[in-house]
Amino acid sequence: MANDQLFKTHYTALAAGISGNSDPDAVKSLRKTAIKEFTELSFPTKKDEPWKYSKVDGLLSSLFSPAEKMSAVSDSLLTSVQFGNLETDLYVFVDGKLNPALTQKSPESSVSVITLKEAFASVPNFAETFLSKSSDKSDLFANLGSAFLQDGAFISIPDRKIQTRPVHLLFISTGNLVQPKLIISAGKSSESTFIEHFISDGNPAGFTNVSTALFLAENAVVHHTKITDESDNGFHIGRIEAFQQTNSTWKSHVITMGGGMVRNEVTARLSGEGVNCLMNGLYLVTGTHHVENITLIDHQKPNGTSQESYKGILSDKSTGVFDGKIIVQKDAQKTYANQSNRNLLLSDEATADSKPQLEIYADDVKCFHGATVGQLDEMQLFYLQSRGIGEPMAKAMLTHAFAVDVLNSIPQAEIREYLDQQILERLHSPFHFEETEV
Amino acid sequence: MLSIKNLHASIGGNEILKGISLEVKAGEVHAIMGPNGSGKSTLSKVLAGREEYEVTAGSVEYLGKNLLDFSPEDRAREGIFLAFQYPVEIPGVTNIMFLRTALNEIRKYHGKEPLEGPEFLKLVREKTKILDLDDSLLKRPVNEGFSGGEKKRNEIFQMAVLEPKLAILDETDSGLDIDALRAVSDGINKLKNKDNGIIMVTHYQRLLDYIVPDFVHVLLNGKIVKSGTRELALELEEKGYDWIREEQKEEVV
Repeated sequence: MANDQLFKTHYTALAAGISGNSDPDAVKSLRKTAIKEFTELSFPTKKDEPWKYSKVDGLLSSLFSPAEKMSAVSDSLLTSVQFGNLETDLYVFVDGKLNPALTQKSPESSVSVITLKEAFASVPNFAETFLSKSSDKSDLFANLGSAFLQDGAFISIPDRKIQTRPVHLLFISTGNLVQPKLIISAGKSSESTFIEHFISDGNPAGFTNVSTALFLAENAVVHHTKITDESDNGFHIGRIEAFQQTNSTWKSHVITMGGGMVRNEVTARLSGEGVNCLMNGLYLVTGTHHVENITLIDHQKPNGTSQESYKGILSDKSTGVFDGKIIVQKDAQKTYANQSNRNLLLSDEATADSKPQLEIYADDVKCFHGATVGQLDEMQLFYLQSRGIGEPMAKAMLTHAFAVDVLNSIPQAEIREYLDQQILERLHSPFHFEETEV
Repeated sequence: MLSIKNLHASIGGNEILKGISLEVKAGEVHAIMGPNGSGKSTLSKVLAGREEYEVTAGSVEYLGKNLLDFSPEDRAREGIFLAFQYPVEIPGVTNIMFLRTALNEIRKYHGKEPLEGPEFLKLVREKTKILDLDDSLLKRPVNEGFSGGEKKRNEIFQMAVLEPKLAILDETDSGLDIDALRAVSDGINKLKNKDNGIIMVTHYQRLLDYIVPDFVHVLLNGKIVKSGTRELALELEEKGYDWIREEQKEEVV
């Protein structure tokens, strides 16, 4: 495929220009291997199983380059993405690079956020400990990210520290090749909250290719919410992979509200006993946009539980994909796994594809899965209308009701309300969320 | 306030209502009785604007306007309220949110400002008192997990908050135990006044012991075949519907 060659040539040439001479050898060799893999792997096609419904081929005809300098960010943009009055530690990444001038951090914070470059230099055996474990070596885009490895952050919370103040990681794209890598290391019995938040400045075309790896030590609790709300003209591929030790809890929410083509790959490796994993997702797709969610929950050890609920709301001519796999390995006895994917089609021209899969190799487990694709319920709609609620309002209320339970497990009310408002705006809803306290 | 003339309606090509005529004046309570399948619920749904029913002939005038021209929401805004035979569950929408939205949509239609949280809550608390309802019901999703009695009571509670001019109660009594029936009918009686009309669609006479109708109509095979006063309901209770069927046959002959 000629485009495939152009794609490879373009990005390998750019990757060769990465200045990383001062980096540790392990990092340099990682980049080198990634470039080699990237060159050898072929561009995914519909014949490759996890890419069957993908629209990633748009990337062949739009090639992007990294930003040449760091753009300024307006105050109004920063204000527009605050979560009400919620106090957070804010870190702003412009085109993938941390801008320390925009950091807002409480002096009492236990969470440390340093750039990847700083981590290379200051954390002993960083590449061996955190980089070599993560990322699928056979994935083209993971390798593309590793070939450019330099932007992003290393985030850590010490053992036994409880940080209630959320860490807001705001990624602003100005329309370039943006490839940050985030490493989150949660110490034993720690608890913390992270929001990965991707937006664009204006409506530029761009390609965000981000990898996040989370390491949850024994008994750690991590609340993790990813919000993707980039430009309509943009491409976004995100890989999240969590490595969970014994008794740890990871609560993942992947909320996709904007972007022309978005692919979220979310993987949980339940590698200790008694691990809990919550994997919720909401994709709100409009226009001719496309969103795909590829999830994998890998139960490796006994007594683990996983709860997965992904919901899609698709309007206009949009398309949505859910491809979710649960593996219960031989050792993972007494596993409880529950997966559900529900899709609401708001238009006759929208499409949802759902592909739930269970692979069970243990014999004493409880696993459930279910998938639905449907429309708004006529009787519910009539019931609301019969009480004086106009049709557009009634539709918005029901659509909102469909979505809302995915958000309920986000601990901060301010974040839930922010997302609620954003969702209603996307639905062009006349309905405003305002809870009456009883 | 309501004048139905020769109303015909069908669903999927089947004619269910075959020429209904009915006059309801403000302050009146009408009971419409009839066996299963006679068209009672269809009449309720046609009046509320359920679109799956097609009106093929006749007219419905409500407060001087052609009711059939209005969308379901505009009928509600004009003061028509249908208490559903099977109230619909709406997970994810709390009762209070639902009611506040409904009330404010109706107010907006009449050019009134929306009620703010505290004002609305005051109104709601007054109404829960009248109906002896538990406040916890407000925070629960609309009808989800409600018992049969709670669902019916919730319908009457909505009616109390929205204060309709014409209430159509579709089998509000069916499936209720005697305590729930008392509570529901007490509520309806408290809401009854000289300015509003009530149409009670029911299968049983029992409800009429608690809410005394001014008129009783018998619906049979899509037509009102007999009208009378409360005594007619008692007669139906005693003798069933067969004697009316017989009367009908004789008339035809």
